[in-house]
Amino acid sequence: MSSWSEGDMLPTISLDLTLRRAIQSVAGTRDYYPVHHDERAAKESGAEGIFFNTMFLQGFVGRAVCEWFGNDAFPRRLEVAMRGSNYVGSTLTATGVVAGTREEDGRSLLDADVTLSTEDGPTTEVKVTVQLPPEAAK
Amino acid sequence: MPVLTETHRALIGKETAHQPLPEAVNIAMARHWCEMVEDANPIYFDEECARDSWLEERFAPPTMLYTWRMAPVWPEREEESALSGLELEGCTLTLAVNAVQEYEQPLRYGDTLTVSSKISAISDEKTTRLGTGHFVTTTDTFRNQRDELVGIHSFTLFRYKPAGGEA
Repeated sequence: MSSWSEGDMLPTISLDLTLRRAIQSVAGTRDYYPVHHDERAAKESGAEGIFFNTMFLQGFVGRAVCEWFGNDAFPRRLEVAMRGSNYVGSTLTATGVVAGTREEDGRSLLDADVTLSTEDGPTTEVKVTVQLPPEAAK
Repeated sequence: MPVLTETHRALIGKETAHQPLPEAVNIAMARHWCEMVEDANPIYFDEECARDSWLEERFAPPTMLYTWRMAPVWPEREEESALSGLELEGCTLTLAVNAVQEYEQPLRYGDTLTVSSKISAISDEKTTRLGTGHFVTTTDTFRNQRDELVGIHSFTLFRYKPAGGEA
């Protein structure tokens, strides 16, 4: 049995999407696709400006998961659906709710629905399955 | 090209060989990753913290999976790509719309990985607010030096020509 149950709200986590962070993201994810660092290329692609890539969003959710469920919580599945863009100059916020817990193959798993938003509204819908550390699962 | 041709259909499901990734799983890249999202989890770097946990040993942030396969910017290297045979006329731009990752086991520092890729789906032509193109899903399978499955990444990309054709 997990100490978490369906409907539990997860604390909000925010991150400023500065231009500096976009540059860190190029280094951190090794993604040199121009829309993620070149304003003109981003606008020519139909975007409003430089926006953050998928790997950055995965990394942010990976951070949030361990802040919520423990340093040794281990993600098993992560689905990220991009519905809008996360632009430089905005603030990215993760909010989430526990969708359920289950036992599978001797593992205590927790499913959470997470939404990433900026000032423009929700941009990314996330479903994550986390294996809870043994002590948290008891 | 509103609907798919036989040539396109023939590409679906064709898997590349397992190709070695540019770098072994390493702490330096993990540090860049954690700085980027301000991830303070000590389990990735502190040996004692990792040893005291059920995971027993340090590992790289699991969500880095796709980063390990990013090609070096220089020098260019030859890589067999599942997408290399895919011609979508005029579709010069790419936008990621969906990504699913599955993590089979922690990636330990020093692990050397391989990846094989395939196109798992190509849609007929669609028009979105960005432009007209096709949704293409690729699936990458990652294995370690013991040939164990370590992770899977499915990426759905919109390959398109921009609306208005200004680019």
